[in-house]
Amino acid sequence: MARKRLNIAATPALPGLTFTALLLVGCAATPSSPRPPAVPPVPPSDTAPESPPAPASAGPSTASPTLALLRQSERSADGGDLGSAIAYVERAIRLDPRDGSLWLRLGRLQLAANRPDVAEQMAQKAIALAANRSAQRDGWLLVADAREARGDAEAAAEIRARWRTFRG
Amino acid sequence: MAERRVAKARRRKSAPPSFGRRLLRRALLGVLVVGTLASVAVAGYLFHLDRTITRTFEGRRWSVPAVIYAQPLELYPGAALTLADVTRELHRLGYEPSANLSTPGSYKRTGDRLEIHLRAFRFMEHARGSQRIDLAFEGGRLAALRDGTGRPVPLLRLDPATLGSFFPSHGEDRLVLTPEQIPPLLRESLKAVEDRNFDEHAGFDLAGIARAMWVNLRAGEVQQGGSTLTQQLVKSYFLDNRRTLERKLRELAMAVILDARFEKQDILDAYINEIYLGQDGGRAVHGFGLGSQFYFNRPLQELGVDEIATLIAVIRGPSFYNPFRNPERTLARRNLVLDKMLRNELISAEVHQRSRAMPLKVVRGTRIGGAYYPAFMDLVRYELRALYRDDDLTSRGLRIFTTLKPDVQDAVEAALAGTLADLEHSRKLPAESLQGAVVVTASQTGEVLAVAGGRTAGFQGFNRALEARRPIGSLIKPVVYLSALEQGYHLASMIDDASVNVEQRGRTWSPRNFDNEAHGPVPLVRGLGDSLNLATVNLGLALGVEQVAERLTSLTGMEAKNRYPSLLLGAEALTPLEVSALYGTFASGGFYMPPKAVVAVLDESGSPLSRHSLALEQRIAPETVGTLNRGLEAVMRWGTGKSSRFARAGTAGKTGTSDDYRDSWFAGFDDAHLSVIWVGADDNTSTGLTGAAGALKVWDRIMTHLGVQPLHHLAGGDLYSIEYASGLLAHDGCADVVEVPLPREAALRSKPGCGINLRSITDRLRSWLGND
Repeated sequence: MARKRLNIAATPALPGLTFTALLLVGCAATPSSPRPPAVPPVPPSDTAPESPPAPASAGPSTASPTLALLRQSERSADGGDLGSAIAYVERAIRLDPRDGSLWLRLGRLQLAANRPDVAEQMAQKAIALAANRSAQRDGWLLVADAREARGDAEAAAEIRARWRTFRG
Repeated sequence: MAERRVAKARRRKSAPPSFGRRLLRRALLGVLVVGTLASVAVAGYLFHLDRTITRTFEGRRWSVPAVIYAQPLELYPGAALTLADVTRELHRLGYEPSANLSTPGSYKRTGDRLEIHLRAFRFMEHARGSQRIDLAFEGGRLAALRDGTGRPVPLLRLDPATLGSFFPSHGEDRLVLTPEQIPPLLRESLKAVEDRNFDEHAGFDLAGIARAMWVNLRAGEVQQGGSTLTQQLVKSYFLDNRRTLERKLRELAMAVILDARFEKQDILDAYINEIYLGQDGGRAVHGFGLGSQFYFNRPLQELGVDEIATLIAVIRGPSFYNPFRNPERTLARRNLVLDKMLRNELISAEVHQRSRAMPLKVVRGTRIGGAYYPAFMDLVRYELRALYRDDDLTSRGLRIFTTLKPDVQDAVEAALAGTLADLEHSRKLPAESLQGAVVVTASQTGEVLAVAGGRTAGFQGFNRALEARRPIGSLIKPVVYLSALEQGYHLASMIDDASVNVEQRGRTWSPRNFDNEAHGPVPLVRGLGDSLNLATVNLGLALGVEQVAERLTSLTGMEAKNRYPSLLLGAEALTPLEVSALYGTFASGGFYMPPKAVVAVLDESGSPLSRHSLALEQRIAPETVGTLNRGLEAVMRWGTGKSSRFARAGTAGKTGTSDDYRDSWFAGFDDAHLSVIWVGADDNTSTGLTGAAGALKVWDRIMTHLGVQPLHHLAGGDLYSIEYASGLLAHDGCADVVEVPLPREAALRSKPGCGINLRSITDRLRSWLGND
């Protein structure tokens, strides 16, 4: 029996920016580097950095399974439980491993969990799966953050400079 | 002492005692001394018994083997699941059809709808209570998923199947129940049947013994035992079946000590968790928790009165009253137990009558609660060995969540066993002469979904998937072609399929093609696709054998033992699991992912002890692996894999055959699954099977079950159509045309007489053609 892949074309914005705040705190060690916000809320959005939260009326029926998992992941991360947050995203990846944004999300969480090596590999996976330049840029910016966390500020700056001019 | 001597002296003085009195006094003294010594010895012995039994009791109470869970089935609207798929999984989990869904673990089917009363389950991230859900199916998929109140739910998991547990080497497996999980009826019935005076006696029961003797005497056979539950518990702890008086006394003493030290209910609950209930190969089934799973494939809390009675009936002699082997005998005893329940007013006359009319209902062959996936369990153990001691796994009540998908595993086992039997039949090979091994992973994550270590499912033995290291033959070739692509070759580069002689270890090595012919200049894609040995050796020699060997290492971390040219044709032995790691780098688009089986390990309270997150590392540039995979697709479409029924379905793969047909290999993948299959003989004799004739057949059968999810092509490079055989640019409409990504600077000749479709290629290409 054929199993169709999940089709999740676009991931609508999630309510709440607390998780962003959390991750930004994690990255606050390097305030000098001028760059766009390192972690957009789910999902990365180039046009509107602060997308309006999903309408409250949007019942769970309209939510894709991976989106539901991302929400749970975000709640766990907000509660300080990065382990569970990672587990939720991994569950989403099992459902749709070709969605680069999920790998990017996983990479962000791994970086927040202080595992920059893992984070960088997840970013590479996200880049390999990126459907467009904008998604590639998100991946590369995560690579830059990971490099920076590993103490390679030079490489980080170079990557950011390369992608700064790009606007999706 | 001094005073006594004085007293003695005084007496002696006053009246010298007669010989008889002196003797008496001596004897008394002796008795006193011996008595004292004996008392001390007895006290010491009792102290020893006390310590032994108390420690055992306390220790055993919570000594629980780790339980291993499969991947749970994810339900969500749109999932490609049929009602039959979900029902099959429910059956695997021991859910029962029910009209009113009153208990967890039941389901009801109405047309295309399925209502399920889910069991409570403590997942990794959260505990889920039991709840009702409602599924609607339409057109081969799950169309709607609602909770008990009719609200739509985005996704939900069934409870995961239990794969088994890591019981200790002496074979005792248990599933410990907490006091709340023990039905009161079980406690009361056990007392009624086995030990009427349990609440009153002090660990032993003289009246019980007398009664048992009387009953047995009248019946002329042993119908009742005189042992109290406490004595039976002690006996079970030390598993000593010698019937010596010393042992009986020791048992009795320990029972009395236990009774004095612990609450009655604690002793009864320990009994319920401890008592031997049956044998399952090398595994001894202990306790009602596991017993319930073993005989009924359901948790104890879900059992009916008749089923509880059956378990109680079995205690008396798990072999004599084996419900599988001796159903009539067991049924008779179960009814006896039901009668006692009624007599003790534990059940109503109506329930008694209804239960008595029930058949035994035991289910054999279900895989729940048993170590029936030993090959996968080996992998789990292997993965955890660095983190946990054996003792941790067998006694700490750990809960291990894994990646195994039971439906994939079942499909793999059936495919392997079925194909090998068919091959033996069609090729007139002796029955059972072939062996095989399979590893299936999720191609993007490296998670192991199924492992078969041999053709006999559930057989704990030599695990070929993990341990059989066999020459991989042509499975090595993609490493050679990858090295070429990384050194500037492309799929249309011409390589020479011409005979070659190489000095190797002081001898001349003259490889030959499968068809014993040399095909002259061929495009790279055909060298790989048709698995041409001469072309590959010539290419590999041009690249350097050492280069290829190092590339294998940089891809997988494995060191090639063979650093001679024969490495280029796969004279290098790997296990199927190692091959899976190698091909995983291709299937995932260039990322090395060590095959992984464990998701997380939780302690008995549900806190994570270790999480085993996804891990990967980019080891091939995206464009290069995209090109290589085009080549592996050509293997299926035009080359050695073309006999597969999925050759044109969007799959990639490679066949492999070792010298003299000793090993038949296939590694294949689509967008979702990577499978590595080995077929051969354990004694390493020739089977006469090529990779395509053996292992590929197994793959076909696996994919028939899994369904193909066509490969997703990575963006990169312009695509050109070339003729597979010649490498010439060709019209899409020409025969045997393969689309390959080529670098812009590649200069190609076009096939004469087969017009180029100019609309489909760039102006630049047209200008090359003009130059040509």
